[in-house]
Amino acid sequence: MTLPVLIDQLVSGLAIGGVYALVALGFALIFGVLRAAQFAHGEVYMVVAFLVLAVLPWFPALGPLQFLLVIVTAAIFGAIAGMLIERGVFRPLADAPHIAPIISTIGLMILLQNLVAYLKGSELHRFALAWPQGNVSVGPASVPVLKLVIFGTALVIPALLQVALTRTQLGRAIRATAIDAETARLMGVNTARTSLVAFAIGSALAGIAGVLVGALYGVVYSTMGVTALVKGYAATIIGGVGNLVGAVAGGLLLGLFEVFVASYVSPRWTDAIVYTLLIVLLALRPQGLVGRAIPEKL
Amino acid sequence: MRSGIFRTQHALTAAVIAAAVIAPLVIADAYIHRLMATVVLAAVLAVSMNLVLGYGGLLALGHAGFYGIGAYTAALVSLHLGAPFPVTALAGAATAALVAWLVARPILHLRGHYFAMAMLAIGEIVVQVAYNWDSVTRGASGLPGISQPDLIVWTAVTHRDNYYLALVLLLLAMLAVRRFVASPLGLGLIAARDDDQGAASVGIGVAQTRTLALALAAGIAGVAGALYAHYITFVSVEPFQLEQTIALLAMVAVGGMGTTWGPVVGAALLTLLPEVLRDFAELRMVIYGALLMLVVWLRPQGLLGRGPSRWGLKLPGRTRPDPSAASGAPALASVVAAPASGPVLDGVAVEFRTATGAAPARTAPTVLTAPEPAPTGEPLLRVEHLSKDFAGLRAVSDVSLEVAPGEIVGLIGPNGAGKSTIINLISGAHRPTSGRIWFNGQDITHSETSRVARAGLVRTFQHIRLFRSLTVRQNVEAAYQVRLWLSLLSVMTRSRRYREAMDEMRVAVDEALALFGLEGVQHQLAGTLSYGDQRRVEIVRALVTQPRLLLLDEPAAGMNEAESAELARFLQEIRQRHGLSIILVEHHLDVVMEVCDRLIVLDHGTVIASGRPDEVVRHPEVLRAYLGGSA
Amino acid sequence: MSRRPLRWVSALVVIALLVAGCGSPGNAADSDEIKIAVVGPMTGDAAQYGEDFTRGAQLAAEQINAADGVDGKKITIVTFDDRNDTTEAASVAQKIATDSSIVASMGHFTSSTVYAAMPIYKSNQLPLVVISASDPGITEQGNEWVFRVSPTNNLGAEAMADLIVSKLGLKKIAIFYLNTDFGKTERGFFTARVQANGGEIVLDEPYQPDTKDFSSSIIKLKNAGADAVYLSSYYNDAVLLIRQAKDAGVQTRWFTSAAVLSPQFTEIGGEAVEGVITNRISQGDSWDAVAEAYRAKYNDEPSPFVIYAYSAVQAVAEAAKNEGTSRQAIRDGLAKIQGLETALGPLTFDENRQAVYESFDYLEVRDGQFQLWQP
Repeated sequence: MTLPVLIDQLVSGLAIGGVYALVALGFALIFGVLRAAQFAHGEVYMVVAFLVLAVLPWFPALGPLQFLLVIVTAAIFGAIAGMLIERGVFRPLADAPHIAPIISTIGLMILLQNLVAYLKGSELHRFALAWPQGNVSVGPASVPVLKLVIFGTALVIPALLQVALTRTQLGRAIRATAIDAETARLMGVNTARTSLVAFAIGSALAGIAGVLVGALYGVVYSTMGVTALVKGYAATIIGGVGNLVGAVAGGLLLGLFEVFVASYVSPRWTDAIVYTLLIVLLALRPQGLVGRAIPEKL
Repeated sequence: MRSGIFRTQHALTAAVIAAAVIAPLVIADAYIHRLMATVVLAAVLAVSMNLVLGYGGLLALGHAGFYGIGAYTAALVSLHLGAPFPVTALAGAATAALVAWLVARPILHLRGHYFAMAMLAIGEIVVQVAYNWDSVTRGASGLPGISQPDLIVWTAVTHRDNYYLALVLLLLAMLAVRRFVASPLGLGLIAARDDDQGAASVGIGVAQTRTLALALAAGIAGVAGALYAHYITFVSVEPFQLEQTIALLAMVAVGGMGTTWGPVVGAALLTLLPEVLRDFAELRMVIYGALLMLVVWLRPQGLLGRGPSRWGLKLPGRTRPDPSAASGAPALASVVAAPASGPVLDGVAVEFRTATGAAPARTAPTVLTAPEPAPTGEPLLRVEHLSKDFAGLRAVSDVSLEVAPGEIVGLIGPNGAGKSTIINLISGAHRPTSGRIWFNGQDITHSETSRVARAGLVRTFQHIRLFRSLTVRQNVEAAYQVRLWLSLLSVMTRSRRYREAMDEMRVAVDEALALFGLEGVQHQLAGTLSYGDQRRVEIVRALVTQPRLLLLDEPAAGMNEAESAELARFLQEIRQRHGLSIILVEHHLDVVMEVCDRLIVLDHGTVIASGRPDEVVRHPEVLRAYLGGSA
Repeated sequence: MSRRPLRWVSALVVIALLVAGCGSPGNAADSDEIKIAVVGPMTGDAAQYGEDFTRGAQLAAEQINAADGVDGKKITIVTFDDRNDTTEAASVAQKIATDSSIVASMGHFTSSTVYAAMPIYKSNQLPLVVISASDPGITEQGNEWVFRVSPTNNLGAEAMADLIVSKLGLKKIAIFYLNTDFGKTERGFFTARVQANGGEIVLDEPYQPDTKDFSSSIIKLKNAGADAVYLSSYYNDAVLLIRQAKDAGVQTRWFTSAAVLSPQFTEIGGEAVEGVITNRISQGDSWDAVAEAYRAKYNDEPSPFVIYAYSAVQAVAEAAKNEGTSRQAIRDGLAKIQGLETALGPLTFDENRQAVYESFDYLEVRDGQFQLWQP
């Protein structure tokens, strides 16, 4: 193991971990506010990636500005998709048993996956951004700019979100709802609006992750959401359910784990080892890595 | 009381099964036979998943993994040893159950999505191991050439043969799940689903019960896997992946969680749907997804689940009671019939009077036998220098107290004084930061709630924690199980000892309910009772475990004066009759003054006074804390 | 459930089992058509291959029927989707095998699906012609109802090892392989031949199916000092691996398994896959003629799977002509084929019912196309 190799691996882990982090952050935000798992979260990521791919030819080649434009477009597509799902799937099931939204979003997952496969075909679709390209020197290593940009995006966006959640009225309302929806409602928080907004933001994050992963792999495909969901779910759990900082940390950690296990143990056994570590972690810290054990009120 | 409803239900069951047996003889199409076999195999899996998901309330996202373990084990045993199907099936079941039992230990204390994720991880690990352990499983190539199901005297060759084999398996699986759920173990499982803290508080071993349920479900899935392996004659990892678990989840939820037939209906619908939609080619899964959403939207509780449909759309089976309830014969008549002891909803006072009045002739010592007295001279409970910090905040600080056998001790103090925290610490719900707790000569400082309860120290809650989806009677029966020692085998076979134990339980529970005047509401769901009745159910539930020390956390909360006066009399009565000790946390000072032998006053987490009630209330510190604290 | 229905049911089950024991499957009826099932992944991410199968078989059927069929009988193609899934493969095979109007089946894309389906064809006595699955074991199982027109994967991999090490003199080889039966067996044959030729495997890296991020593997490659890389991959993985490696600045020579041969490879790969070298069994003039007809009909470049499917139909037609149109007759006819002129060139089945192959062509991606290349 030499330093350049290590840096290379670190950057790769952080890039894919950054994608997981964004997916997890969105999942955790939605889960926090609605107390419901959005199993079609990965499909939002996939659908947005396909939508962006469809409009990409119309984007002017403006270097970093184009990249920014792509991110914003993805966020908008994601937010719209999220609001539709909140209104169409979650709202009507607000009083239903906990399992109902899970099954409904599983239905949505199957629907969207197969609809995209039907419309666009189930093969890989090339997805390339004009910027960023090429490599840059980081210390003694040469690493792809793209990976650094993805990691950077995965840090900046959660930071911005954190500011929005703590500094704005609406953000505080979302956090209050996440902590205790009933009390928040009694305190005059419009929980219907906060859940819609939380859904929009959470899904926008998924959308951004979708285009980033498209750029990272160089392709998008109809079943890409499944992996995203599982990894995002795992990252959320690693961090601690309902804990936004934990979700980001969990995502980055998962990405790093995967790269290092694949590099130094075995690519074949990576998943088995990562999942075993996850179980060990949960056995030791049942509330996740960052989560705090909150004693239940009896 | 055996009404026509029951006969109709049984006739219907018999008719469905008869149809399932006859259909493949009438329709002589191998393709249809294959479909039917696939449906029935899926139904076996869904039935086993329902035990964990429906009755246990656990999001078991790794269930297909146990199916896979069964299939691979059977395949390997068959290929290497040439064993016949009964042997391979048993091996598959045992391995799957064993793995479930082993992995369940470290993760069953996880809650909600943490548990779901851990199970998902286990499912993935099974798949990854099967996929990469080339020398044993042949990895991605899979294991070909497995013999067809060989039952020694007969071999299942055609799809129809395999269908019948699967059907027998399904009926056995349904019977096993049903027996489990109707047993006190199953009631404990449902109780833990409804309220795990409440279940632990009466001594139900939540983790143990869930482990048993998970192992049983895994065992059933393992047999299904074995049948799959011998039926298809080839095993590779594809059928055991997350997609399969998700499909099972959908089957159980669509059919109706926690119902007997729901998983079967769900399995049939969701397996046949893609076949019916085959003509739509690539669009079929789009339609499938949309229909899944539509069903959930129309009936979030599942097709056979209880409750109304959206838009009042009527579907069959909507009024089917929970099967576990059916075992207790919740005939409508028994709920409506007025109880002998007087009007049910006429206030607690009436009921308590019945209890405290002339004891019913049949109050044999079976119900609430007076516990043996503790070793003389020793206090029953001794708490030494107990402290508890919450995130740096000291809620309880250096509290020491003792309770003698047969003593009623009141724990009072202003809001936030740490009364409930002490109850939580003593009952094992929270871990103390420092200090020790001795009960009956045993150190219980770090014991779990359920073990503390089994030792004879049982609590009730400030906010009532009944098992809402169980009837009053089942609430009590679920708690009664701590007096039993049930093995899974005795439950499955309904051994003579088990049946005897059940008969004893019925008598004891009848008596306990009668004692509290609850027999008239015994078949109502606990959550539907009046507040006072719920309180009483909670106390019966605690008493039926035969505790030595009862911790009552604000039992009079929400009661009016007459009711709380009755409660006071009642508490003295049970102490007198059964010699048990009570710690009473209470705001109603009149109750406390009347029943307590001794009072302990807390403020800011420390004991500020202790002694006879009439002395304590005049204590200057107490006056200051109460007047100053509330001013 | 009371005891009574259970007793009922057990009685019924016993009766049912007795009755069930008496049935027996019917067999092909005589008709004026020869119905062949084409089965493969018609949906899902391998659907491209299913389409290749169907088109190749359709084209063959059309051309044979245009020339008055097989003694006047028309060849009909019916397609079935096994979604490239083993359970589904077994169940679709059952569906095909119990349709007595079908006299031969061809396809199942991967070796796993063939393995899952094989016993069903045997027990129903329906001949299966394998047209892509490449695990040598398939034809070594003694299942006399299974034939294979496509080559086993040892042949192509060994030819590639000879090319890289012996002809081009590249000694330090990295190999990436898909962790499936296909990838693992191919890797085994390739590695053995490289070592026999005096080469050295400097990196031996498996990857899981559905891998899309090859970062950690590529970092290893970067530091392995390989003169050449060989990929035991299908086109989708190969494209991603090569593209991501080039983006990461890896410079080496790329060689791949014949399994990448698909228009998608060059389409998605673009300039990244320029210069990649692969091989396929040698194609004679007959191949070109079929390819020409294919281009005219579908306006697309045929993959080898098109040609295998085409040849399989030719073989079945020949068998039917010589021995008759029952399932048994076609099986016997296929077993006797020696030197039959097909799209693949002369086709001969060995004693294991495996088509015999001898020589290979090499192809290089040039200007977005696979083009013949001379070492």
